[in-house]
Amino acid sequence: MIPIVAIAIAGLTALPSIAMAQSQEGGGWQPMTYSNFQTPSKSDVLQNLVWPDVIREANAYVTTQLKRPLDGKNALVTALSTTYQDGPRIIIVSTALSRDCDSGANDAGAEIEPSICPLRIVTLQGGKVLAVKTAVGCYADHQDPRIPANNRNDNSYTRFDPVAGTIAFRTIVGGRDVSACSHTYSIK
Amino acid sequence: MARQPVRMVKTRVALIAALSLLAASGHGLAQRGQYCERTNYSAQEIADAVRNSPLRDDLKSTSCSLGGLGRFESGGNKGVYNGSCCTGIFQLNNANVQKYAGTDRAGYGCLSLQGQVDAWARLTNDGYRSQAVRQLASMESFDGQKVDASFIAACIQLGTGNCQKMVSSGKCSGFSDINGTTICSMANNAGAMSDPDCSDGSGVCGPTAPGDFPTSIGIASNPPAAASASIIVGPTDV
Repeated sequence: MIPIVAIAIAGLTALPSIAMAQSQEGGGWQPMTYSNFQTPSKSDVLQNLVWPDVIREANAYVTTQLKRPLDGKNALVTALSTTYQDGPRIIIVSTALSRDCDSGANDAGAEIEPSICPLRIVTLQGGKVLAVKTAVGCYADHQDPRIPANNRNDNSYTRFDPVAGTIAFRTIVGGRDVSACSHTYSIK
Repeated sequence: MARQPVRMVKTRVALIAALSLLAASGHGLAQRGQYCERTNYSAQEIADAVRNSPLRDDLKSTSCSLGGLGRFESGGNKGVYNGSCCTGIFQLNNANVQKYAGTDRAGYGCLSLQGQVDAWARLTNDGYRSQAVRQLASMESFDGQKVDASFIAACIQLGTGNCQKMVSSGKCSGFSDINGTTICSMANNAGAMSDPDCSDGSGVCGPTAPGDFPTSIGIASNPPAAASASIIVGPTDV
């Protein structure tokens, strides 16, 4: 786990850039940004601050259980994230697809379901980690080009309310809101 | 002859309209697919792969029905993609393929039978620790159906979250997939599709006699001389 004590983040410059440009003042739902950690990066905040333990575990699984070399890469670990700027604070909301997720049915008669996964909300300020909150979120992506047409916009979304100090979370799969994935997290 | 092109155009327009409707409904492009070669593994071959996998021993005790489960899910075709979520002999979903096989769907569909079964076994082992399975395993029967290892495996197969919905509802109908398959019916179908000559819990399918005591290890490999033995068993004593 990431220690909650302050951690210097000097040198970690690669915040999820698309989400950084989003304004928290609009109040709208922001689609979470997809990241693939297979290429290691020493400057990626998601890899180094938010999910380093999950990447390590996935790497160990591939080398010791699957007995496959990684050849300098990371295991196939993917995550969704949104980053908000709130005055001097940076707030990263992220959920990663790991073996801690419940990913639904494995069945010829099944359809795509979201994965119920760990969610982390990391608050940074002045180059230090102020807080790490862990919760449960949902992971859904649409990276696969052969998924059915009605799943091609599957994603999770967040909405930051700076006044209330909350982040709302929702997931849309197959064009429908997944009720089990609707959450509101306090970050106060 | 002069009218034929007009008819062809009309037909083409109708076809395009129908395809557009299908696409708009969201189902038009959900096509089944095939990765690498088409296979037809028997229930027995799948059961053997289960026995050689890292699956927990208590679930291996139902390996024959798990061979049937593989036939139920894929017809023994390890490269089949259902056009939506799931691929392979046990129809692992896309997320579980990534997590447990460390690859994408196409890579998974091309793995060996044993490679696919090993990934599925690790998923199943992890699912065994879920609340839904613990709750189910504490019951002798659920909605009139015996809770055995096949039932537990079906619970994990259809997703522990979905299984929890069923357990919480108290009825088999508490969860079903779009084809109406419930965890209860999946357990039954898996048993029905297993090899009738298969037997559970042995290293290979076949007679379950205990076999010889190993003589290459332990004290049997280095027996005391007759002179130093405290118990002498003569040929007529056997």
